[in-house]
Amino acid sequence: MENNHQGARKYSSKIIADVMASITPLESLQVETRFVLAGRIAGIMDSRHMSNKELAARMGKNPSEISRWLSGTHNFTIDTLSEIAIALEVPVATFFSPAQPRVVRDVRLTVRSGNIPADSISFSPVTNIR
Amino acid sequence: MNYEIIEMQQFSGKRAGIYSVMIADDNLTLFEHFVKAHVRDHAMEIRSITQYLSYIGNRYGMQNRFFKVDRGMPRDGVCVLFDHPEKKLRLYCYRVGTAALIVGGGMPRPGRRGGEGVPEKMLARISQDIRRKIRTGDIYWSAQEARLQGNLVFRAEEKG
Repeated sequence: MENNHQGARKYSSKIIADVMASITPLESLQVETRFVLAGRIAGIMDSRHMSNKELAARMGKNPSEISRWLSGTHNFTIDTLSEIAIALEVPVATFFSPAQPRVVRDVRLTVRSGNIPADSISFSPVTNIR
Repeated sequence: MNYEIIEMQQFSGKRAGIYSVMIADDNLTLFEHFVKAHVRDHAMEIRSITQYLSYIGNRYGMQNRFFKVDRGMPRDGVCVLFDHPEKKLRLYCYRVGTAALIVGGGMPRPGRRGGEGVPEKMLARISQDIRRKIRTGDIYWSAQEARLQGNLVFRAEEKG
């Protein structure tokens, strides 16, 4: 049970390897899809600062049901996704599209070749900040 | 109780270090005992749990939404994975900071009535030991390695 006291001993389990090897492509895709859908819903809620309680109230559900959906273990039906889409005021397709990277600030950089004086480098922020 | 926290290579990744506990004189971790005990009756769920842990370690990190935190004694940090009405199993975990997860044992849900289940009690004790070593600086988080560092071997006689 000794280790070198510099961290945890790294361990690869035969039992876990056997279990992971037995996961079928279908099961793998099913679990991944649940995770992705839960992540998309959670991402939309986060971007709107919407709590589980608030979404539950909008949908007439118990907050514990929202927690279950967001845990990544829930097998969503199209009907449930449609209900969630209405409550979040987004198209259902949003849940199946990759999230857009969030733009914090647009800046426009101008770089010119030639003899550039040391004090001439500048950038100008664009006016429409998203 | 003498035991060691070990890193589960099959789950650990760039988003989180996933660990389990190996009791002295045993050759399986608490998580492996859980898998062995339930893989026959709940094979699909066990497969989902392994995939779930791999996602947490490699892709998603330890987001709060994955855990049910209202387990155990207040502030013992013990939480549960996979504890939902449509699931048969619950898996006890202890989160150390934001990127280290110690996976203990589990049991079929609902837990034994009239008291805490054994895997939960054991993990609560282990979480106390870890907190003690974090306080004394014997265990610390390495941001560079993104892993727990320090002395992760626990002996009963070390307790103060």
